[in-house]
Amino acid sequence: MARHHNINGNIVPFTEAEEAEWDANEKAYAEAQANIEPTPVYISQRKSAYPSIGDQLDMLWHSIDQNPKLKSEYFEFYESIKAVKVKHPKNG
Amino acid sequence: MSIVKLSNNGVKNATAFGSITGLGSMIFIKKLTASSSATLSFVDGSDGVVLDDTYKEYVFTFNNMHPATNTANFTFNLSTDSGSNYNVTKTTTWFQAYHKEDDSGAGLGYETGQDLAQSTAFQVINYGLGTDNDENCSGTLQLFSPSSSVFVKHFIATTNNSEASGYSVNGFMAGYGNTTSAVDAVRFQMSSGNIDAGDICLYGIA
Repeated sequence: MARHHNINGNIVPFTEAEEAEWDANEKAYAEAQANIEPTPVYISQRKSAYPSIGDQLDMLWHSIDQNPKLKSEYFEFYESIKAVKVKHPKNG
Repeated sequence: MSIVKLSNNGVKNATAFGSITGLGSMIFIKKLTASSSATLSFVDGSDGVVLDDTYKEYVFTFNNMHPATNTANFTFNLSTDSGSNYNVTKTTTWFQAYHKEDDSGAGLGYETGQDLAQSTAFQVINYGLGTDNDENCSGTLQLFSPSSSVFVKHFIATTNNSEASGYSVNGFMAGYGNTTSAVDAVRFQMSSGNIDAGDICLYGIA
């Protein structure tokens, strides 16, 4: 079926060139859609279930805090966060 | 103190409320209804369509835009030559809030795949529209000072879309046509296939 524009309420049939251009566009679109692999459901399920990035980093810091070897290995990360905690204590 | 009872017509035609005067108006200009239409275009200067300096702001309302092709994107572009070409350079942003019907996914985020950087391509208003009978996209697009010869042409769209795979997608698109030429026409179309149904109304904000 021939395509048309609706311009200000007036129906304007496509030219042959426009028909050819849209045929090619729709063919390319259909091919692209056929090649899309569906995103596995677990990705969105995990994304919404993970703790926030801040909470994850806090858990990481506390794990390092319990282990002198890790404190040394991740010295800069550990100390920079510890400095903030010291400057702004919980009961400060 | 007496009680004044207002009818709908009284409110509609009001020019002042108490000490507040000079109330603005939202003036209906044109409604286009899609019927297996490839494009819907509003062109200034004919068939009652006004898209010039008559109003400083224009609003397009999208009512139940329904694609013929599943997962097509609803898009638009601007023209500075009365619709001969829809190819204004645009820089835009796009972010969304989404939630799946089965509650398996929800989020808020920027979508790099939907924005444009100095591109003449059609801009996505909302994406992945479904073709189920009840699926559609509705919302609004504001266009500011389209005929300015000084400023770029800002636009802001807020829409919601019942996306093809079962998401409610609240899309927020904004940007500007990077031109100081007068924008005198706006075209809407799907990224692929026809606009099966739906209507777009154009209003001027006085």
